[in-house]
Amino acid sequence: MNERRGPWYLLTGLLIGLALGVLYGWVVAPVSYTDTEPHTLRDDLKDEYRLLIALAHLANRDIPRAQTRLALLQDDNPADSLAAQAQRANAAGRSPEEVRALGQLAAVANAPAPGIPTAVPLTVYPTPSDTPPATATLPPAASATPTRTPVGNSPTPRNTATPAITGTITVTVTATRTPTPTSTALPSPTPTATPGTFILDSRILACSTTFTGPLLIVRTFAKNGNGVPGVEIILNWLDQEEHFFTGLKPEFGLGFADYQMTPGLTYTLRLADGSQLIPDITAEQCDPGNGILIWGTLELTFIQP
Amino acid sequence: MSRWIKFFLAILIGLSAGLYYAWLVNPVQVVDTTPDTLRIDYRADYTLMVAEIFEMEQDPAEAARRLGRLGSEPPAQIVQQAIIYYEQAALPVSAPQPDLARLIQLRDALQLWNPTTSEGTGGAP
Repeated sequence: MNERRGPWYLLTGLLIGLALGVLYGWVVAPVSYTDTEPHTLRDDLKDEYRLLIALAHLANRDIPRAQTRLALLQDDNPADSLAAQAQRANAAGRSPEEVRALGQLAAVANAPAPGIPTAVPLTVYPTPSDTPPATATLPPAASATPTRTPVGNSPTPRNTATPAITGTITVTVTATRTPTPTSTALPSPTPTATPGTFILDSRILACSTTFTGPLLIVRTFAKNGNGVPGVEIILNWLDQEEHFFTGLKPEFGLGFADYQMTPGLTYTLRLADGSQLIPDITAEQCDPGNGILIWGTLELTFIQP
Repeated sequence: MSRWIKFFLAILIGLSAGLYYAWLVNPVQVVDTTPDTLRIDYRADYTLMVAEIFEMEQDPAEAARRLGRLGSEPPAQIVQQAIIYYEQAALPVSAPQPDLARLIQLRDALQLWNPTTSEGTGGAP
């Protein structure tokens, strides 16, 4: 009788084994995610994490630290991600501070930062072997002593060095940094807007096909010639108002901002830092040389005297 | 070899095949996680970022809202965990005193902060 059963019982055993494995994995001990890394966060939470990095950078001006933190998100191009998020935030009506923070960090996110080690945030992050950490009791500090082990699989910051940003104007970033990141806030080489210090240097109607449509371009430069990101620009027309910022398109320069004008409207522009009012801004047509009129690009350049 | 032995061997082979597939061939790809699952060092740095921002904004309600992403514990306790982490793991090596000071400042502010009487978002989501 036994001989007539054949080898099917082996297949039955295999199937039972597989079923037991799935039952164990799904019911008895299902996957629970712990000890994850920032790059695994959901996209909207990554945006939130990126915003935190930008706001923290706005507070401490510590570029290496911000770059190290950005590297944890493993974006292909951190500057692009920040700039895109800044534009989304601006379009969504988020606070100017958030947009400015994202824009300013976008401007320096890919700047060369020599000497950043392959460490996770900050300088030394030993990981206690037992997670979660010791139960916190509000002061005084708890007495648990975690075993220290070096962090082994920390992501490597992937800052691609792009010292020169080429657009219509070439701006060279000359940032000097400490070779190894420290936990103390470093003075930032980022040029930042100082209230009320910009004056209009030039107002040019460019008739080129580089930019399309009736475009308004604003450029802001520091005294040393570097573009200044994060400058808030306020445009008024009729009873409406629009805010935008320099530095959200770092590929055109750190102090670059643009706005698509509507033909027939007359705008008034000012920088939020209280610089002079620039009236009578309108979309104008021009002839690039072939006899066909196109919408020109009005370029306003502001400098710090 | 008896049939029973062969049968249990088949079960073991099936289990092994399942684990080989699950761990080596097609391992779990962790995506779409939330900040409360972050490793302790990342949680500590997340908390430190909140403390750095708090130093500038001085807004405990906003800090509490941000810390709420790290779990349902009271915000001051989350900060205390980060302080413990830095005190025990990082401080002896790198001595980030300013960071520790920021965290302590945030913890103290959150201990005094009362979400029911303050303006703003009123605490963690």
